[in-house]
Amino acid sequence: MNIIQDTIAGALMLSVFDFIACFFVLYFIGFFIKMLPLLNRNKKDDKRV
Amino acid sequence: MVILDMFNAMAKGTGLANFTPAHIIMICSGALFIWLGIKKKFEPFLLAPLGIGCILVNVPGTGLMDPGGLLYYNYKGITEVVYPPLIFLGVGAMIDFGPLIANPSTIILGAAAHLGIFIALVGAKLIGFNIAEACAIGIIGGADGPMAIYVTTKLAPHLLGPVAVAAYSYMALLPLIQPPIMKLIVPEKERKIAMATLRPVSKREKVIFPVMMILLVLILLPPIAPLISCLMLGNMIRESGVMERVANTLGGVFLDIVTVFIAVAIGTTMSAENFVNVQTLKIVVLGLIAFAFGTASGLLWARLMCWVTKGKINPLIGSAGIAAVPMAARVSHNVGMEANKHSYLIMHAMGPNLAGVLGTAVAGGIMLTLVGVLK
Repeated sequence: MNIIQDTIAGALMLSVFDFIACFFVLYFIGFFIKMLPLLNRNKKDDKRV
Repeated sequence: MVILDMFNAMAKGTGLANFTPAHIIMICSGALFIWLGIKKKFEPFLLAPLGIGCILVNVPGTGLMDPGGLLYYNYKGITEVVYPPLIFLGVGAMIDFGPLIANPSTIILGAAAHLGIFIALVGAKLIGFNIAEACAIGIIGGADGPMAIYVTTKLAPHLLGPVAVAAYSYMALLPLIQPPIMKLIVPEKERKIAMATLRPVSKREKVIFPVMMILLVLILLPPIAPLISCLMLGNMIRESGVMERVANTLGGVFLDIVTVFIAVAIGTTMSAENFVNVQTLKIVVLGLIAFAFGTASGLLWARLMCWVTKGKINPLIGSAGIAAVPMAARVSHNVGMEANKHSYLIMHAMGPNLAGVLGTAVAGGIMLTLVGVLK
């Protein structure tokens, strides 16, 4: 059974939910990316690849 | 008499006897794609083979798309979802996620620039498409060809032709679609902003990033596993530094060859019988609306970030959040250069551009989960 109804209200609900969820998921991923510099333990690691 | 019958049979066996005006329209469309690719240099790897595919499938009587025909098997590469992950493997080996790692705050532009997906989705529903078809049409706005093919194959395979053609065509025509919207939304004063140089990103960060992304994205959104895992595998091969020859091949020759195959396959979806109808026209228009609104929403969000950071961010990088790697980032850079010759936005725009790929994957993954494919 589909979770989202095949109606205009269903399309609106899916759109709003998906758009907001995109922000949350990308923000969540961004949080982990921000943590990556913590893995640099010494100057050697900091050199540009 | 026998000779006449032979000539008659010959005439019926040629393509000429079965030509219709629709075939001629589609052959002209194929020629237009070839012209745009070769003469105007709009993504020639995409448009030229796409045009050839379109012409081949619209010459009646060749049987190339019948079971056993050459193009039939090439088309299976799309319907069996073989080509999209291979494209992602090559793209992963080609791109450097360094700009995104260096400036993770721009990742949010990858979500903001996807408003177009949802406007097209609701628009498609309003004009009579069912919800699964509307999702497939909406994902055109993600400006990510393989993802559009992947989602459409799962949700509305009968729309694969127009959706794939719209997605790839608009991606190739991005340099024509985006600049007028960018100049309309971003005032010249903000277009001139030169952004600070990004911090160097270590090899350790770059190698750990794809592994982390595989874990994060796949735990959150398993339906997009085939694409994201290939993207990150390609990226890990690149960043490991110990498989240079493989990385160069995957991101170069391999990617070009698969692009040619996928473009021919997309071209072969443009048969007159399936393509010349009002439904296709609706999808093409909705795709353009999705691209335009996605570009506009990305720019508006970037303007907000510019205001919050007191002018440290050039809002032009917002339009790159639409995905279409690396075309959208190039467009941001070029429009920025028009305003300020000392403003090099390309690396700054690559951050939201790569985030756009992730954003499209997230949007598509949620659609696949909620619209019942996993039932």
